[in-house]
Formats: sequence, structure tokens, C-alpha cells
Amino acid sequence: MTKHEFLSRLRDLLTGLSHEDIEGSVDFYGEIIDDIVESGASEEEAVAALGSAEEVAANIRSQASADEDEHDRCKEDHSEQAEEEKTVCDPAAKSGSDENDCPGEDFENIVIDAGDADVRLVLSDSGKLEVDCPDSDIHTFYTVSVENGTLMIKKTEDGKRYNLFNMKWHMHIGINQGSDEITVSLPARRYNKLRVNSSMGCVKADESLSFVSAEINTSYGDVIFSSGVTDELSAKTAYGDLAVTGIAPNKLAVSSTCGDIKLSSVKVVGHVSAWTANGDVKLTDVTCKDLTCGSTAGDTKLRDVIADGSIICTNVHGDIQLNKCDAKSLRLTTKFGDVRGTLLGKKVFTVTTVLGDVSVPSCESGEQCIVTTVCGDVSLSLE
Amino acid sequence: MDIQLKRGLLDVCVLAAIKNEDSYGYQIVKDIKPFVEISESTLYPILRRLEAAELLTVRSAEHNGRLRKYYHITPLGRQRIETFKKEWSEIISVYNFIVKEDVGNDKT
Repeated sequence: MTKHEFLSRLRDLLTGLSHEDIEGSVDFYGEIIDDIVESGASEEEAVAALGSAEEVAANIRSQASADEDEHDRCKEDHSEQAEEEKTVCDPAAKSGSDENDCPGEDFENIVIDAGDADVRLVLSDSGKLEVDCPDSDIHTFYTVSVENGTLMIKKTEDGKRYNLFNMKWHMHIGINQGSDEITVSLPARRYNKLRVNSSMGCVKADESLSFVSAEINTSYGDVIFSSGVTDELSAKTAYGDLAVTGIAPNKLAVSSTCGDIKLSSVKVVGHVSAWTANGDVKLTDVTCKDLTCGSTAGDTKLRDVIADGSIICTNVHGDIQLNKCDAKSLRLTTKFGDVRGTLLGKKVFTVTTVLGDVSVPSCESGEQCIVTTVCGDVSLSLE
Repeated sequence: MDIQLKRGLLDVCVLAAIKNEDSYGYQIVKDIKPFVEISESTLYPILRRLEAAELLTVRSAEHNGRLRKYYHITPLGRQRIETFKKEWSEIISVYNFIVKEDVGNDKT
């Protein structure tokens, strides 16, 4: 295999990763091949020395998911490290005003720029705002302020360097017993907008809180969202998993690059979109107007999913499994996976497949269900 | 070697491989390989992570009519090696504790 063939194969195999990741990897391997050739090997030998493009691509992807594992710590208990280097940042104290005059109460929006910390939003037991973030005696790692009706929690420059200077020995050998956590305890009321950005951290929002809209972004962490949202929830993670339960917004959009997506007990007035490149998509007890979902590499499982309008599910490699689902029109597409399961109500099936076996009921009338596969089998029945 | 253990050590190994002079991908792999098993596809994400953390910087320089990326350690990168060396003594004391327990169990 020539260098050119190897690199173009690699580029194909990395589909689904970010453009930057793909081009960076391809440049990097191109340079390595040139260097091996320069040390005296032929181009063929240099390419062979790297292993197959499939192995290399799998390695790059598993490295990405190993990163994910390392930061997959939402499920762990944070109580241990909570004792360490944490102080309560009281906005009243920070602004130097009287304790009784708490500016912390005067906000309806919340913006958190967490850096690499986890973020946890809970209902305040005391009925007062409390923000608990990582800190030390010498440095302030986060600033907490209220400006124009918005509670802002931001990482300081000192905070950004914190992890580099204060690495514990166990972190050096890859044992990370949980990261720092920002806990925001909010008084009970409906907040307007919530926006959380975190690079490494997980984001959790408790069911006892409620927001008009929420926007959550994290690179490595998981997102576990069960707070009430009335208008719109948008949540993205690159390497983490995403779980949304028990909400009823107007609109819902969730996506992940490497993680799984789970939606359960969700009632959406409008459109739901749920996409992941490498994980599985699992929707249970979801009603909405329209649904678009799918995964490049994983499976999609829909159970008790009812759409007033359409369900459009597009996979590439994985199976599509439906259990008691219904919509006015369904469009189910997967290249290599199977399409299986049960639908409610009469359906007119239009199935296109190159190599798959097809087993669907034949109805004269009913709603449209269009199924397309290349290799996969199609086996659907009506209840 | 335990994969978690290896991953953590590799970051510091890569920094060590460029601490005396700037180096490039293929050379870094060659330098580290005798000590820890590392492949090119393991190195790449580590380099990106270290760059994002400002522990190293990257520059492209011409080499034999093509561009090659050279990695340069930053003061923060050096600091990280120093911290690692300092805290390694903690690991040694844990190791001694583990070994001591073993001897005790053998006797009973």
C-alpha cells in the first residue's frame, strides 16, 4: 500500500471524528511515513510498519474512548475530595456588601464557565443561593458574581493553571479519583436561562429545579439532566454520555460524538433531535411532534416512541429497533444494520434493500413507512 | 503494564523526550520505545493533549523539502516533570507499604 492509499483509507475510517482530529491524524501519519522512509525503508515497508489502516484508526478511536473513560466519573461519589480545598464562595462576601443584602437572590439567568470541573445544580436546602467551588488559601479559582440579572460563575486565570501545578501523584499515573466539583444550590423558583460550559467535567441538573431554557456543553464529561425545562433544552458532549429524563420542553436537541444518548419519559411539543457518531441512541417513552435521530456506528433503540408527525432514523452501521412506536410517517435507514420491531396502527411499507431479507405486513392503506438498508434485514410487525 | 498506569506515565515520558531539545513524532516514539511500549497512534493524542494544556508548543519547520512538526517544551511542561519527580517519592512509599504487607502475609 502506498502512503497516499494508506492516508486516504485512514481518512475514510475516521469519519465521524471532528475535521480537526481527522486532518491532524492524517498529517501526523504522513510525516511519520516520510520519516521512516528517510531512515532507509521503502514506502511500502514504512506503511506496513504502522500496521493496517484499520488498526491505526481503531487505535485513534479507542484512545478517544479511553480519554472518555478517564473522565467518566459523574457516577462516582464526590464526597471524599469534597473535603479538600473547597470553600463556599458567597457572592455577597465577594462584592463586599452587607451580609443581609444578598445580591445572589437577584438573578434569573445562570451562566457557568466551569473549566475542567464538574457542575452540579441542586435545590438549596436553606432556601438561599450557595455556590461551592474549588478554591485554595492562596488563589481564587472561580469568581462568582451577579450582573444584570445573571449569576455568573467563571474560572480565573489562576484557576486555569490550578490543575497543572497541583497534580496529585495518583493523577500522574492515570488514577483520577474524581475531579473538582462546582455545586450550585439554588432557591426554589423558575429560572430563565441556564448555560453551562465545561471542558472536562460532567454536568448534572437535579429534577427539583426548573428553567425556561438550558444549554449544556462539555467535551469530556457526561450530562445527566432531569430538571424541568419549558422551552428548549440543548445538550452536547464530545466524549461523554448523555441522559435526559422527565422533562416536557417545546424543543429538545442532544448530541454526542463518542457517547451514548438516553432519553426517557420525555414529552416534547415540537421537534426532538438525538444524534451520536459512535454511541448508541436509546429513547424510551417519548412523545413529540417530529423526531430525527441516529448513530453512525451504534444502534438506535426506540421503545414507546410516538410522534404526531414523522420519525426519521438514520444509522450507518447499527441496527434500528422499534418497540410499540408510531408516527404519521416513518423513514428508517441503515446501511449495514437490521431494522426490527413493532409499530402501532396500519402502515404501508416501502422497503428497499440490496442484500437483506424482508418481512413486513402488507397493508392496502395506512401511514407511510419507508425502510432502506444495504445489507441489513428488515423485519417489522404491527400491533 | 496496567493501561491506566501507562497512560499517565506516557505524558511525562513525552515531555522528558523533548526536554533537552525539540523533537518530532517519529523520533519521540523511537526514544521512548525502549522503556515503555508506545505506538504512533498512542503518541498523537498525547501530543494534542499536552499542547492544549500548554505544556508544549508546536512549530513546523522545513526538513528535506517537506514540513515536519517539532515539539518544544514550555516552562509549564518543565514544571510538570519536576512535580512528577517530587511526588514520585509518595508512590515509592506506597510501594514500600504494599511490599511490606506481602511479606507479612507470607509469614502467617
